[in-house]
Amino acid sequence: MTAKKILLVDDSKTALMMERAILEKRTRYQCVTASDGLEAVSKASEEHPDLVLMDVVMPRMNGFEACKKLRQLPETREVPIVLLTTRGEETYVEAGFQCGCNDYLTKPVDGEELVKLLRSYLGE
Amino acid sequence: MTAGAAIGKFEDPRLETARKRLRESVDRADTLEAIREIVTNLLGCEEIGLFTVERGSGGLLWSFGIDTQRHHTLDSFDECALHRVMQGELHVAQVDHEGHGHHGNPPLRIFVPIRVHNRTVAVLVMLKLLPQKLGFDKADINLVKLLSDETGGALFEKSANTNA
Repeated sequence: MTAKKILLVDDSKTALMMERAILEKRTRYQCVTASDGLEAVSKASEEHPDLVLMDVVMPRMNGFEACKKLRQLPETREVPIVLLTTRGEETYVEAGFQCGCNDYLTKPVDGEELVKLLRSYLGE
Repeated sequence: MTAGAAIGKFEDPRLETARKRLRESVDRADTLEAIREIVTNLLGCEEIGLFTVERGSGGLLWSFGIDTQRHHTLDSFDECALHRVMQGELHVAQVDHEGHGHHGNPPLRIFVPIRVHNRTVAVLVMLKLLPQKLGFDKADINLVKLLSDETGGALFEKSANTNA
């Protein structure tokens, strides 16, 4: 069976390392990465991920804009998008859902909570 | 488990990540960026400042999110806490009564001694948690100890010659 693929998007090397460490230890998902929203849109078209886990505050294109863009593209419009960010304020959460994200998590990430959520979309 | 313990099967993934990120930092500026990323992404704190203690100046060297006019030197902080930090002790004070936070964020005072050859050469100060981060636990303290133990060389030894 082919491993499910997750596109991790964050401008912080530390956040990407952390997410990868959690997923590699606890799941069989394959991870690919992008460091901002613009790269995320391009990588999503090339890599066809099964889910996108994306930060919000990033240079060049932020997570909200990238989310909107991914929802406009035929090849990515159905892909689940989970936003994972330091910004937990209600206005940010609402903006995230308005841009088309499926779920919204805040940092610091709880590994167990993250894996549980991703499994709800992707299975084991 | 101490922050300096070997990477084990049950280690907090945040410790493993932070250690790896710091060790892969290529110069002083990258080490400061690593500290900022670790403090915001893994600890959930959004105000940090690094103060030198060399020649007794206590001046602010670098910061993120902090009110630099109010906290431009270590003199703006509790003297007793700073004395302990100078001896190499970590100081963590969470103030949980109402009215002392900013915009409802849990107020915090964490002073982290940055050590080189058993000497405190700087103090990393963390002041405010993200709203969703409700407090500091033992695992957070281990992560802070890692910053204390593993950043001094990269920031203050002669080889760290690239300006931030």
